[in-house]
Amino acid sequence: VPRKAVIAIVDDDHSVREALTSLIRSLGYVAMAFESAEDLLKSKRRRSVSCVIADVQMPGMTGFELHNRLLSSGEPIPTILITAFPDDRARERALQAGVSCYLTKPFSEDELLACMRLTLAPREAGVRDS
Amino acid sequence: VLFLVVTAALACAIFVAEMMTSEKLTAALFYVLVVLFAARFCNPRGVLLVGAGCVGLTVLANVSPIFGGAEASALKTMIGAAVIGLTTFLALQSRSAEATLREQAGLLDLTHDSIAARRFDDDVITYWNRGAEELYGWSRAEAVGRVGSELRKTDIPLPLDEIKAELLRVGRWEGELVNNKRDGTPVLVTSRWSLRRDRHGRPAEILVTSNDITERKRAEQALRDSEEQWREVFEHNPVMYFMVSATGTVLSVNAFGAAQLGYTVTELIGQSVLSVFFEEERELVKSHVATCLGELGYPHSWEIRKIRKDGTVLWVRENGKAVRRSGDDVIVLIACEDITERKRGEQRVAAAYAVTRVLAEADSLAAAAPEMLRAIGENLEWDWGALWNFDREREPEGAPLRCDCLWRAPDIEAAEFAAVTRQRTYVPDEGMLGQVWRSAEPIWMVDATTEPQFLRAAAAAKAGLHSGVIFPILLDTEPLGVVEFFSHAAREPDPEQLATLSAIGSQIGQFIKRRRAEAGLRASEERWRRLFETSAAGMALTRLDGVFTAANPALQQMLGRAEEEIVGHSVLELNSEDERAATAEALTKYRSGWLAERQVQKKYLKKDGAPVWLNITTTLVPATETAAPFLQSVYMDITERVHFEAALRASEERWRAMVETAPVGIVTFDSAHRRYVTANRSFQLMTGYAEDELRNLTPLEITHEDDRERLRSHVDRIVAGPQDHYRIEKRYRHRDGETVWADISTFVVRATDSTPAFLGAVAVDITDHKRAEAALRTSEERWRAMFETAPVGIATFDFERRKYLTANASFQRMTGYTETELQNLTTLEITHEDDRAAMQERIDTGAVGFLQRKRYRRKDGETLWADVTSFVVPATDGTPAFRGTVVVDITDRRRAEEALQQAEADLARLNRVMILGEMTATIAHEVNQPIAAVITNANAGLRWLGARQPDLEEVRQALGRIVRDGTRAGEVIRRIRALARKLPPRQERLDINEAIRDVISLTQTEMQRNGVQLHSRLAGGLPLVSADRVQLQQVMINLIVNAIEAMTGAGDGPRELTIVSGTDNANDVLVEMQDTGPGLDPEKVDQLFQSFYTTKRDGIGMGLAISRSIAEAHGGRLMAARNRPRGAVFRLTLPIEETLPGGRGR
Repeated sequence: VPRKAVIAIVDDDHSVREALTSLIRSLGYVAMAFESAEDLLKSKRRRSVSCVIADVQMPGMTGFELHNRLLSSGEPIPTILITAFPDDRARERALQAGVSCYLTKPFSEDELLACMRLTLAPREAGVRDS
Repeated sequence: VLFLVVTAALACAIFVAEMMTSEKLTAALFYVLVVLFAARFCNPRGVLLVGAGCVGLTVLANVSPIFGGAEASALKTMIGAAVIGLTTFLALQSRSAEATLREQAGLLDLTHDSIAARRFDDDVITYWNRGAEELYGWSRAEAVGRVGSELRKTDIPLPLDEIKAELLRVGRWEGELVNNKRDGTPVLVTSRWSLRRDRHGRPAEILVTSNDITERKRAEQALRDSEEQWREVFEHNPVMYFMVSATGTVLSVNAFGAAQLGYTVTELIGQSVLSVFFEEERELVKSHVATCLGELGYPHSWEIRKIRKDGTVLWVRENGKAVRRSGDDVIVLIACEDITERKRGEQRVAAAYAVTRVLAEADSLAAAAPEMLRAIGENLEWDWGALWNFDREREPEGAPLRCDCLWRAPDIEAAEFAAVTRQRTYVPDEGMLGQVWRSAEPIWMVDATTEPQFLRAAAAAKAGLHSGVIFPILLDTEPLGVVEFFSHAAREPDPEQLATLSAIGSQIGQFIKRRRAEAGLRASEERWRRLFETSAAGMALTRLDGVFTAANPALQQMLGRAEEEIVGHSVLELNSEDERAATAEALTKYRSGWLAERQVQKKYLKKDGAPVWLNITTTLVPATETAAPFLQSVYMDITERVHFEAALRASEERWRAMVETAPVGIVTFDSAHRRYVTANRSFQLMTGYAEDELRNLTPLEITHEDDRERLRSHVDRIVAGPQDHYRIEKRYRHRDGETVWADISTFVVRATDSTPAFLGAVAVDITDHKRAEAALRTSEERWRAMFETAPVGIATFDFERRKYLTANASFQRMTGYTETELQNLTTLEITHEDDRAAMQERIDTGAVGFLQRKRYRRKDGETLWADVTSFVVPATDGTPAFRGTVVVDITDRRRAEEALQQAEADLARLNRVMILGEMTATIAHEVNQPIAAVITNANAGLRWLGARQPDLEEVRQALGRIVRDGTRAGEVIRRIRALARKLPPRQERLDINEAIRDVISLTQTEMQRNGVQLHSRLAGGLPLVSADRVQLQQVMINLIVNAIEAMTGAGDGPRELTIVSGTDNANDVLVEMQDTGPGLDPEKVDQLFQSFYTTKRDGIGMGLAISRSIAEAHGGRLMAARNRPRGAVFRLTLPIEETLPGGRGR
């Protein structure tokens, strides 16, 4: 039985966090919600996470910084950044830094699904290969 | 008895014989006595036994030898026995007859009739039965033997001898007579006397049988009396009784009734009862009778007239009642009472009353006559009447009577009689009318047609008029006319009516008198009224309480009031206020009789309030019988005279006061002696002499020696004429020797009618003036130089007209007008149009002394801005008060300020837009967050629904979140809109913490984006402030944005913003924004809030300036200080609601 992929959701906005959690679960994934990037980093279940969906502007560590930290920690997790501040320069910078997707709130389900598919596919394939 | 006597006599004879013969006979005699004795007391049987015994004994005595005598003759014995036997027989016989008799007598006793027997000759009573005992009270024993007529005191209607003769002739008599009982009461009896003759035929006894008929007699008498009485009542009672059959036939009538109607009883009986009624009233009578018949036994009554046989009228009140007689006969009983007198009385009263009423309502006799004649005629039942009068106006002497007015009852036809009447005239003593006119006595004619003195008899007869009455119209004793009335019916003279008519005649006379008097009065009143109306003098009548009852046109004109504005008003109302007390007092005196006439001059008020002086002569007109006392007044308008006098007096007083108080010396002196006559105070002070002293001095004497000659020549010249004045400056020698300079004008006052010519002089002390002149000249030059050269505009202008008097060079330069031009302009005229209203207001309120910013309109049309201070310069000796104004030209400064204000306003708008622009990203973020959540939730919900096993609980939660987040998005939009809305400032009571929270939520993203940490310490329970929420939030956003920019611009230092709310010492609400930026340069803190100061590269420096003005507009403050340990702190304070300045807030 293929193990269900675990998706971490990091957003300081309560509404967005709840909504995303619900949507992810309805898609058949396991959702883990965190209020801040620091919470995720501290979490012991971090290793089971297949994908991180993080907001860019958060008090404390931003979504971008989280991605950089994960990257530099040697245990990178594919990251989808979402933001309510559409900023083309930031988007470019993020994609260059290896962020899988950069979505502008509000985003459609299709956009998110496309990103997730893009993000999860190599990992799932990898798992299957091994 | 007779028998007994005979018997006794026989017995005695026997005895004698016996005696003479033998003793046997004696014994027999004794026996006879015994028998007689027995016969006297014993019953017949006893007598028989005694007799038999006696016989037996006699026989025995003769036969028995024992008694010896047997040899006596047997004859003798026989005779003795026979005698005894006979005696016995006779005794028995007698006894038997007596018993029969007694029996019969007992029968007589049984009857109730009294029976007595009297001897014929001497009237002695021989028999008296029980009936007689009972009737008369005497017992038989008492009565028998007495003389009958004496005993009973018989009252015999005839002489006893006649009765006896009657008795002797026919043997009986019968009659009624009165006897008296034993107790004296008389008894009426019927007595039947019978004569008993003895056997010889001689009259022996009278047997009297009497019956007591007293009661019967009395009853009979009563019956007779009663009947008599009733008949009397019926016949003579002054009530008419009729008995009428159901068909109306008179069955019976009493004599009085018949007599009243002038008939005999027999004439009426059998006639129809209707024949005694007026034809027109017969139906009425029938209906009354029918009513009676309809209700048997119930009485009905009515009043109606009846006609006597002679045609006269009888008023009756009839009481009718139908009764059923035996045999089912219904008859009507009618009792009539003569009420003619009462009716006539009523009619007379009605007539008199009607005439009184007619006269009361009429204006003249002519107008009253028809109604009056009708009133008399109808009420007193006359059929035709006429009023005769004579025309006093046209024929005052010996005018004949003419018929003035005719009246006839509606059903009377007497055209011819009327025509005759109208044609006729009468002179005194002519005919009946003439007689009445002359004698002034009324006349009653029972039948005018037969009066030889009645001149229209024929015409009257033709008209069927008979009775008549003529009475005079009397004024006191003077006949003014005659009234006559006639009637068809014959009428007996009625003195009462004559008296009434006489009274009416007098009443009409009084009426005419009154009308004449009224006419006279009217004529007189008319004359007076015309005088009153046309008089040029004011006239008025006033009641004693001061209320006008009349005011003529002249007075109305004097007072400028219409009649109704005077009449009915009190004189006090029309008086000038200061006159009222005196007027009221005068009225009181009039009322109490202290004052009868007075003349005063008094001030009245016209309708428009203007005073009028009136000369008033008031006279009290005393009360008369008919009128209350009143006041009559004549008014003359003397206003002009009073004014003239007052003006003269005032003028004189003014002149005198002026002269006396004038600060210049004024004197007069006579032209002949040149001595002073008058000198005012100033002159006395000037020269040191009192007026009294001056009167003995001439001008020359007190003039400085050096000026005397000059003066003399001047005076001489004007006295000589034609020049009549001169003016010089000269010196007086003061009483104390000092020299006094004076400016003298001397003039000749020519003689008038009342004053001779004299000289007058006006002297002005110019000593000081001369001295001051020099000093003044210097001073004035100094002032003028300053005035002219001052760099500010100075101008003076006239108090009243506000025209410029002077204007210095600067003022002329500022306004562009020359001084001469300004002198024809008012301050208002050169004021800028927009400021004139304010200027006018300042003029009106008399505001002076403070700085005012205003605009002038220069001559070249340019606007001049100026700060103006105006002031009042009080009057001095030489100049009247005037206004001054100092004007500083601020046109340039003003222009700069205007530009600045405009720039500030523009920048304020710009700032707002900028803030919004800076926050666009924040706004997008704030809105996008909830929208993103909504979409995501919706997608999740769809997924949960679309699953193989739909998880509805998840769907429900997703939908709930959609609702929440949608609401949140709407809330964000609302806050932004509120901030961006272009609304005029609006004060509301708000919680400062709420406003802060709103601001935080709007700027939070901005802070996050810039890595700024926010700490807020909001104090709870803060009082509300009154503020415009949006403006306040703008200020706070501005401060936050400034703080963020300051901290981000400073590099890597900590970025912390602390927002604090609370109250300060002054109880203001405060909000502090503490940042950790680079802080403030202490030297530039003061410039912070000035416009265009900025430390930002791209700032324009308006934010804080505007923020401070907003804070100040809310009555608060905005201050900046350094924060510890680093950064800046901005403090916004706002007054709590209760301490807001008056003009603000609620």
